[in-house]
Amino acid sequence: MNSSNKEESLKSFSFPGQRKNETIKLIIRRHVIILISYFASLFIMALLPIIFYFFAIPNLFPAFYEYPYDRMFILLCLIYYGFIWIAAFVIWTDYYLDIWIITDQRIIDIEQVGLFARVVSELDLTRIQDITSEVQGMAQTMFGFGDVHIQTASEHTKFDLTSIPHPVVTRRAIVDQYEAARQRDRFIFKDRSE
Amino acid sequence: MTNFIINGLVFVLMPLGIYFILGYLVFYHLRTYGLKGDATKNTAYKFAVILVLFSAMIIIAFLSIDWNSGSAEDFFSRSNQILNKENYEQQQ
Repeated sequence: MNSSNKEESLKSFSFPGQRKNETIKLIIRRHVIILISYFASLFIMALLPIIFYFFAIPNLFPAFYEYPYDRMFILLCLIYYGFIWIAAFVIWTDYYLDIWIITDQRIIDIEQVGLFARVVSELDLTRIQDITSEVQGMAQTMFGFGDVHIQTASEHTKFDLTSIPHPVVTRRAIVDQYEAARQRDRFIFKDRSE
Repeated sequence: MTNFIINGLVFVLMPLGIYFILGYLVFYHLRTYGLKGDATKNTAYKFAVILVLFSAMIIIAFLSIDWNSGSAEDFFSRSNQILNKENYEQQQ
């Protein structure tokens, strides 16, 4: 997708608290590998009843192969898988709602912590002092994800975009938006002084 | 009948109640905090459909069991009986 198409598709998005003259430039979520790693642990948990059925039942509780205990085993498995499905649902929601929105005016960091806590912080682009991208370790290098650290002049001194895909490209995009915002500010000051 | 009601509470109403509360919380979050215009929100509906299917299967499995035909003691004694029989056959 080229940049103009991407901008066009971003126009259809909006977020709660968006300013009237504010345009979304980039929406970033953590790299999908983070989600996959959580799902992998759930997959291992999903294998447990199967392992139990084929390896533990014959040696411990063979009555599970007979009526009505076979049906009870199926019922217990269904309840267990339902909970695993719910856990996957919660993990996906957590992933989906953890988001960084880069607009032409600010960076908004929305962090969903489980289902009961939510932290939203924002940073004005013109307050950025320093921005660093970091790719560390084999997994990050192989899958192309990493962190972007933003040092600011405000009270909330550091802004971290962790485990995001393409950190170098993202850093460049933020720097571009920062320069555009500075340029805009310069024009506003110039207009006021004239 | 008493067995059926007690087991119904434990094996059907309780898990389905927890599914419903957690499912509702997830939907509430997605509806309130999700980005407007984002197509990936539809994934939430797919998740929910599967959860409803699970709930239906739990109800069917529950109804297919005769709750007066077994007990914990019977389960363990039957297991021991089968294991002893297997051991005896192996020794023979």
